[in-house]
Amino acid sequence: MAEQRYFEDVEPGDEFNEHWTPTRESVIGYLTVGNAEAGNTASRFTSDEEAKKIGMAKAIVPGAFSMVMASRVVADWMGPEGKLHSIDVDFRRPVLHDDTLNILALVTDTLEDDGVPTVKLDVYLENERGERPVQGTALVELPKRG
Amino acid sequence: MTLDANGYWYMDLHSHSTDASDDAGGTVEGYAKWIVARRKKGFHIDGFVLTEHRQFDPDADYTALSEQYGVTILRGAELETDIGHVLVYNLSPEFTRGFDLASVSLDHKEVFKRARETGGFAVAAHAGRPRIGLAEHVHGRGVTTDGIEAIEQLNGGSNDEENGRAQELAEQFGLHRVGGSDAHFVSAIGRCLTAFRRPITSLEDLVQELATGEYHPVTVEQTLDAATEGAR
Repeated sequence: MAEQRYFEDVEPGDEFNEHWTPTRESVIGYLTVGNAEAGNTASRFTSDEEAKKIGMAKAIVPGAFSMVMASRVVADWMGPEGKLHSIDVDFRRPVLHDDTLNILALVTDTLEDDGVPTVKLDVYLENERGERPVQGTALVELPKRG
Repeated sequence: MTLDANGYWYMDLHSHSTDASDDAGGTVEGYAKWIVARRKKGFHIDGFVLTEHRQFDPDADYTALSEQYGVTILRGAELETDIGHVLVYNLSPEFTRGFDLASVSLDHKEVFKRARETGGFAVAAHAGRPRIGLAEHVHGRGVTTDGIEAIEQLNGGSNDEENGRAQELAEQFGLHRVGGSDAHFVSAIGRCLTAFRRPITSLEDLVQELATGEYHPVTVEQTLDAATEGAR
């Protein structure tokens, strides 16, 4: 289980990250959850050929999968008593199969509006081409010590 | 308001905020706070210019925030032309009256020319980006760089190859080069900057310095190096 993060220990500028390389197998695994057929169907998410038909360099990773991974990084960081109130991302460029990604989150502000200890985060995926294909923000409530 | 140890003043010339860009997640105050946090870690960021998409509100005023956080906050616009996006600084009523700022196909020659004639300055944004950057229009459509003095060579939203393409364009045509983060989110502000030789605290200062050509683009990490070198 992830370690608990406390509001007092967080300050703007803090950052954390996790590396991720989405393989074809992992994308199929994701697609198959709740829809066994999706992973077996040739689509822009599973086939380079299909992706090239719509102008992509190769098969792409579903946006929701990228968002899930970013959410997981935040959830692991905040710990079991943290509450992820929201995560909102923009998809600015495609994430391709086998991209070498760094999922980064940075604390941009800490607030106690209405007595609720809240942390604002920027969350983004960065690839080996210097691009940030997925960028967004998250709002997390953290417990206070004592 | 002083230059850093190596004699530079660092401005981010390209950013968007929730105040006026619907694709942005960063607030103006969030940017100012982030810059203060970055300074504590040794980075040099003196200010930024808000260049909201296809609009300019002459009544928006960030003086209070600027004073509260000690960060220069200026306002321009990112307009859309037939050669891609163009950053315009110091938009006068005379300039804005002459264009439909919401248009996505303004005549770039008129934008560059009128900006200068009305006391402003225009820069071709993210010049190496496909479709919306100048390089593709020069090399693919035979557009000339006549009337264009500067391009955004280092853009925080462009990849390494695209920024390299912009650098080649600048070198080929002798264009001045600026840097801007193209920030849409707080932590991106100041990621790419322009290093000037004089302090900039107003749009008039900015236009004057842009006209000199005495500046160059830098990454925020390079400002840290400058600080370290200066301290030795």
